[in-house]
Amino acid sequence: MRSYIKKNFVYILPFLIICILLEILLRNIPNDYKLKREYLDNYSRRIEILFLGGSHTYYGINPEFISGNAFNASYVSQSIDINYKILKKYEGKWDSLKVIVMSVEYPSLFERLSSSIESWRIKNYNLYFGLQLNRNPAYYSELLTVSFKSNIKRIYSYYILKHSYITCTDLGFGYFNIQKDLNTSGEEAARRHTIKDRSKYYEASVGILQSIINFAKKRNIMVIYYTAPAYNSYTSNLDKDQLELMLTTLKDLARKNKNCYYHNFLNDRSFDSTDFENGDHLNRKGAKLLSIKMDSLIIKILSQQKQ
Amino acid sequence: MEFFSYRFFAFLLFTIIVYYSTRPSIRWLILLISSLIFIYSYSLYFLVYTLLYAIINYLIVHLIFKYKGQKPSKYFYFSGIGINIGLLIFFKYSNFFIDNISQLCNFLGISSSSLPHLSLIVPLGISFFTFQAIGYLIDVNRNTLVPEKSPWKFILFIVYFPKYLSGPVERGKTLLPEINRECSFDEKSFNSGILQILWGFTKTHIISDRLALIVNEINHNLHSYSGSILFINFFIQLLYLYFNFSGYTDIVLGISKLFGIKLSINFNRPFLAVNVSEYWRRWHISLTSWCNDYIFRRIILKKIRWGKWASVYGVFITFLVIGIWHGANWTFVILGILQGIAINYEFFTKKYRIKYGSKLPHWLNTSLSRLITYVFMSISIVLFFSKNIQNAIYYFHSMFNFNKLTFHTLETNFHFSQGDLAITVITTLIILLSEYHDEYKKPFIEFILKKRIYFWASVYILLASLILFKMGHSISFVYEQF
Repeated sequence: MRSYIKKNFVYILPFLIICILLEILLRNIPNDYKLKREYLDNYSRRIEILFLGGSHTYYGINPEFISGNAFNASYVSQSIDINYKILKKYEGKWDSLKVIVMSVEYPSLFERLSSSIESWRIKNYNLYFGLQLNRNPAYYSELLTVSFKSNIKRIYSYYILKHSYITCTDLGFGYFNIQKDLNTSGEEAARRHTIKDRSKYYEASVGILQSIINFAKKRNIMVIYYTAPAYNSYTSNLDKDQLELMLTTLKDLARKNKNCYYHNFLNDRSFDSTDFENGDHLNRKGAKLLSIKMDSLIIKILSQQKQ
Repeated sequence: MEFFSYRFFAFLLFTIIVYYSTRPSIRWLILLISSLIFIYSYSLYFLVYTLLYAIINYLIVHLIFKYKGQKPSKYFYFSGIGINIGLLIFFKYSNFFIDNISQLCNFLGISSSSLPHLSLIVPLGISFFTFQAIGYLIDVNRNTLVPEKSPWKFILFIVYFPKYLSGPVERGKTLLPEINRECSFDEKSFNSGILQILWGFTKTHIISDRLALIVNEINHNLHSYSGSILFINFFIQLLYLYFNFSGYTDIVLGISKLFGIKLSINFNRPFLAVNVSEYWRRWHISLTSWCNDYIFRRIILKKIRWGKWASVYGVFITFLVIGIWHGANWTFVILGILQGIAINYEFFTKKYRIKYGSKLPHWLNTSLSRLITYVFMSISIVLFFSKNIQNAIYYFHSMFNFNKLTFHTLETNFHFSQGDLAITVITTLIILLSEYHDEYKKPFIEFILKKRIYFWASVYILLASLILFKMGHSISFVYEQF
């Protein structure tokens, strides 16, 4: 066997070299995860208001409209366990942090990125955010996680066509490029977000939310959980039991913890059809409105705290 | 553990390294441990069941051998056969019997409600290793095989991981000597294994997965379709099943070659068969040869006084068993009977067919024969895929209502693009033409294996094809359900 490897090594070598080269090229493409990690590495000590959550926060909160030094550390499909890990990663560096704002959406308590169809994103947290979410070696490689065709497209797109893969501002606010029909996209999203097995992650999720509150309490930080606004094609198709459980859980947490607040924007009538990109995500106009409302809420809570 | 996964690749690589790092006399132990780990990755229940099953069969076989020529031997033999068949029937067919008893009761007015199904977890690969164990029992009983002394090697014979899920149905006479042989590393066998694995993946992940877009959609929503698409599906279903199953078998045989162990060939260019009898000598060979040796020949021997009617009877029973082996459904029973009718027809009309066939040019006679065989097997495959007889009747009734079929329909209903069509057609032609070449000339693989550069060029071509043309999602192996 050893002599077989020795004789054939010269034929295996080109394949290995190509794989390594492709991996290097892929890892050097600037992406949102790298950008957010670099910002947090450099400026976490200065951040006063930290936004965490999934795509509803990523596309919904623009830190430019928040008073004080704010940063949007959320991302698409970033489940609450990952949000907590980000918070913990910079544990000794939240010198200025006053408020943690995190969206808890209709499916948030009942799902995890690791067991969803978007689990390939875990490699981004492992490679670029330094989070080490799991030990699966495949999730520490671009080539092994994403299809070869997609990877080649990305390399061609970035290095030849000079297309950028950054989809957020310097303060972490994401911007949409694709508009969808509000009615059909809302119904589809509601269906997709309705979870059959709600018991799998629920207890652990409540535990994580409480851990964030405890983490904040030790450092005299306020926690605001909120549910983002959505179009009526989404809200009218939600499962009542799942929605009720989510709302009750969050209200309970806010009631039991003095440093915790919950605000439900889900059926907020100040958002109309011109504010939505699709059935459950805001566009820039809607994000501005939500950000301003959130800013007012934060100011009010902080002033109440002082009193 | 799916074959086409990083997890399995890491498992296989590790097993190969450890296998060739140990001395040849204990390499079988590495395979045994790996096989147990492989089964455990599916479920502890499957592992425990298979181990118990193997141990029971080992004990029964040794009792048969110990009491050879005496009465107890017969008791142990029939008990062993009974236990094996009983377990197979219990796991695979109990709910089928319950359904039919319910229907009979309803028909007779005894009861109006259905009897409840048993909640059973059918052990993976049960149809394959049960037949394997029965064959082994029969061989020992007939004194054509001395039972394996080592219980561990016998367990390996049952659980050997490449063939565990979907065969081939191995014989004690062929696999046990391979396990006992202290094989050293053989470069030709190893390279042949690599090529066969890649060839198998090409069949499954480039062709079969694409054809599955049409075949599976139609079979899951049959009544939503009629006319031209059913007519086209009629011809591609058999191709789909062939590339899926033979591709899987290539992967299995290739993996086994990496360890220097030869498994039985399961497919021998079935589309080149000129009649149904020959087709079954080229398709799922391990199962059909098993049935031929242990059922057909036994019937011929027992009913020798019936003359040629013994063959007729034997063929029907054999193909009934083959049909039922596939599953608990009346469609499989009819499928088996249909094969029996076809083969007996060929048997009784052989003289006339040769006489009239010889009047045609040889190439035309051969081509027509192959086409007729293909059409007949396509009819059989409609039964194979139909959930029930009503669906099969609907299929045959609706497929001739020709209507307009466009690429847009294929793309919308089946997500089957023009690109998919081009890739499927080209890859299918390449594989079928290579099979045609290998039928009449030295296999192309022999040429590739002559020089290292040819081998690696082929590996890179196949790898590149897989990377570029593999479907985004994989369809499971059809025969895994058996």
